[in-house]
Amino acid sequence: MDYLLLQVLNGVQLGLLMFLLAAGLTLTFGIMDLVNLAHGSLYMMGAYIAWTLIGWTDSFMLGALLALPATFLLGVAVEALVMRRLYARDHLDQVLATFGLILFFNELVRAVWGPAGKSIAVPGFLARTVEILPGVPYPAYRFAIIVAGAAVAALLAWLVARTRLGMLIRAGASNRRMIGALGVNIELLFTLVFGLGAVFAGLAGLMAAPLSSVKIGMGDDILIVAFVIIVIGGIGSIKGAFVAAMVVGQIDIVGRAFLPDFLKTFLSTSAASSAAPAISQVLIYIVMAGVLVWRPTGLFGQRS
Amino acid sequence: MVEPLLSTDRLIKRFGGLVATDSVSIDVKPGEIHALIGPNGAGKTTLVSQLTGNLAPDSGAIHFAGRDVTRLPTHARVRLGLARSFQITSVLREFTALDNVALAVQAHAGHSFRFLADARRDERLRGPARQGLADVGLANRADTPAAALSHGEQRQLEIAMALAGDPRLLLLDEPMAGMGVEESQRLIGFLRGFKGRRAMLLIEHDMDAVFQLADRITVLVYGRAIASGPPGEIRANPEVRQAYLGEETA
Amino acid sequence: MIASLRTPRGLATALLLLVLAVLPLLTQAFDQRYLLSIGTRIVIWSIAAISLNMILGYGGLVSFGHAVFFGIGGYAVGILSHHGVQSGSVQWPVGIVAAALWAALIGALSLRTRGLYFIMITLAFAQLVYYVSAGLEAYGADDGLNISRSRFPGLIDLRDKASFYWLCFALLGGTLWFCSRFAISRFGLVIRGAKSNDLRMTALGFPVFRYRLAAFTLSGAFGGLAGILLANEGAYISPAMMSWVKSGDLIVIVVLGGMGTLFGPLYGTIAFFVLEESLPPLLDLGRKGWGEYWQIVFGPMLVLIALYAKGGIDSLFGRRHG
Repeated sequence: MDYLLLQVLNGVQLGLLMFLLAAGLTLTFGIMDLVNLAHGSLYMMGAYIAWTLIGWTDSFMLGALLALPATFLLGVAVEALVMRRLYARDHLDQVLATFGLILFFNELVRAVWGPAGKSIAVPGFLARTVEILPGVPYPAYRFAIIVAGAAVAALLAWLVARTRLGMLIRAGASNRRMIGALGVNIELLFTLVFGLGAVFAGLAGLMAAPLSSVKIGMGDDILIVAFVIIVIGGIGSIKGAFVAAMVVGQIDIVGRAFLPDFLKTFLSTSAASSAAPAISQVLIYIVMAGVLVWRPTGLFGQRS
Repeated sequence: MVEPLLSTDRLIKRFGGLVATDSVSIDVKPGEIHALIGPNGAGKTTLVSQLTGNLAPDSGAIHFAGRDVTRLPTHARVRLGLARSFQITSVLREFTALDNVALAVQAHAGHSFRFLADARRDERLRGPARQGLADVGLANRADTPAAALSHGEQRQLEIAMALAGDPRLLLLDEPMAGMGVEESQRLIGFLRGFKGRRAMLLIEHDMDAVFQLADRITVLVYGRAIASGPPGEIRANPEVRQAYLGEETA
Repeated sequence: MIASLRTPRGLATALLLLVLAVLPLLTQAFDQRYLLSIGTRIVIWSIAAISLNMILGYGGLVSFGHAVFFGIGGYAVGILSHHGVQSGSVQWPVGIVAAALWAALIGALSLRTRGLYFIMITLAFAQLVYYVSAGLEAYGADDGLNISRSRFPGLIDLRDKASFYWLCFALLGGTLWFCSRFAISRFGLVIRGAKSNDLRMTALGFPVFRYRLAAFTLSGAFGGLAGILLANEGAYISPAMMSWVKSGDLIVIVVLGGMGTLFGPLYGTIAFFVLEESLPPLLDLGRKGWGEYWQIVFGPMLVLIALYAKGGIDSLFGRRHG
């Protein structure tokens, strides 16, 4: 039972990380109608920039905190240089251009930081366990991610529901042309939204880094899961992204945890261990396919 | 009583709190030119979208050619003989005028799962297409890309495309929109030629055209059909005058 | 098929085809066997690019995940070969049918969606296949699998590089021929009309979904053929054949060559391979060691192409007539 609880918590932790990544993406898709394949690159850059800053300041918290505005600036720079010119273009142009950006960033990282992966250590004060329930220890760092992720999600929910920026975001997600008519500085809004998405992506990247590693292309595979989440949740919907991210997080972790045992009942041990991650990935797509059949625009998406 | 070609039965469509179509029951008889008028925002386009199948009504039914088409997809209704032209010109811009009409012909000619034969030389498509263009007065613009046609010519092309399948009912969404006086008169004359032969549901603001063409007029205000009858009756109707015609110097 | 030898476009294309036709003779004469290998891969990739062009260039369907058909065709051959079924006349139809079936399945699910959804869904499903293959221990998982080439006893020995090249070239010819018929057929006009304005096509009475699904399936089948050839070229299959980067490369190729044109994919493939081979040495000229990071230049080049050069190489030949 404890094991199940731990896995569920891990699923929540993964779900929150994925939500951070997906939130920016769904906003960009929904408000700017921009397919941004390079969002995963922002995730990666967040991690690499954090690695460098942590190295300079010799402090995880300081380095991470400084990485956030740095990632924001990077996002703004990318928006101003490239994305801005893509809003009016068709999706193919956007796919092509952002694909080029992925190649660029991957190679840039290789040139600047080298081909070998980097690692960020779990900060000292979090390298312990906390007792979730009496007698049930859980890694403090993962718990911190859950807390931080939930806090950001709550902040975003507040932002969208209670602030003027949030109102514009909601309005823009449902009717892009209308917000122009409201006399809003569209350019600034788009830049802010993109920058915000970049920060979230970078935050997700640097938080995930101590759990796996910092390596070239780390954002690209994760990005596709973010796409699945957005499709399930509905383009433009933050609530949808949250729900879908939590669902996907559970499927991925709990699937990974229990599938090998399930498979071992009729496969060899080594086959089961390597097939399980692959199959739990497939589960995600099957869920996506199922949602599409039932609701072609996702759970909370706009009905066109 | 002649069986109507198209009829709706208490059609209702809501968008959130707004009732765009308020229990509308109208019908079009075979060979009749039926005009649908009303102020902007009355819900004319919403109604048309439900008739063509682009929008699903919340409740009510639509019958066409004796069949219940309420749930039938758009392309199937077209195959039954319900053709439309668009309010905002919607032709295939990269294709020539002739290609546009030829595709419209092809839609009804069938056999579109042919991969090998050159459709561009197929006289079974080109012939009727050329004739269709000639009928609307665009014969000399056959090889012009649709994007290069003038606005009025594009409207004519729209109509040629709608006619290509020899439809039983022609749904014309503001065909006169943006046309000059001369062009409008020509189009009116052209459409008048269909009286008695081809049914038409005409959405229009151009009152001149409406009163020259219509056998019957239905007035739509705030999603509701407030009056329906021959032109003379509608002109005299006080409710209509107040809601709509009264605002114009008729 | 080729418009006219009197136009620059026609002349260049004719010359290109001529060179490709006699490539094995040329590489033997100049003793550049390496070039024959590249040439073979160019021909194979061209087939894949043409298949993508059918739905992307002519149809306007941004399918990101086309490389999955490389994988399905290749793995069909590889898996069958691994289990002792060496005969090409069994492997190849299986591979093509498998690719077509997968295309039909994905198409049925994704063609009902529009815009961004379609792009992401096609990508996601391609990744699904990628991950499944990467998880197949029995067939090499991530590392891939060496396989022996398909056998066509009495007909052709695929181990002979020149014979294999000419087979690929012949198949390229067949693909080009089919595409040329497709583009002006009734079916092709519906697909192209739908690219221009699919709502209009529906309003004309075309069940656009059905046509797109058929085109998608055909496109997948040809993609599978390319995968079969690729697996035979290197006698090797691996999940990397169908990585999303490869799918992106295919889109780049189709756009680079000129979308919705017959020979665009061929030009695009050649340009892509040329860039891939020549950018590194070029950068090394600037400064030794820079060549390794050629994608720092290539990436932004793609951005620029997307923004300013959508017409592709085909547009360099000037306006088309007729």
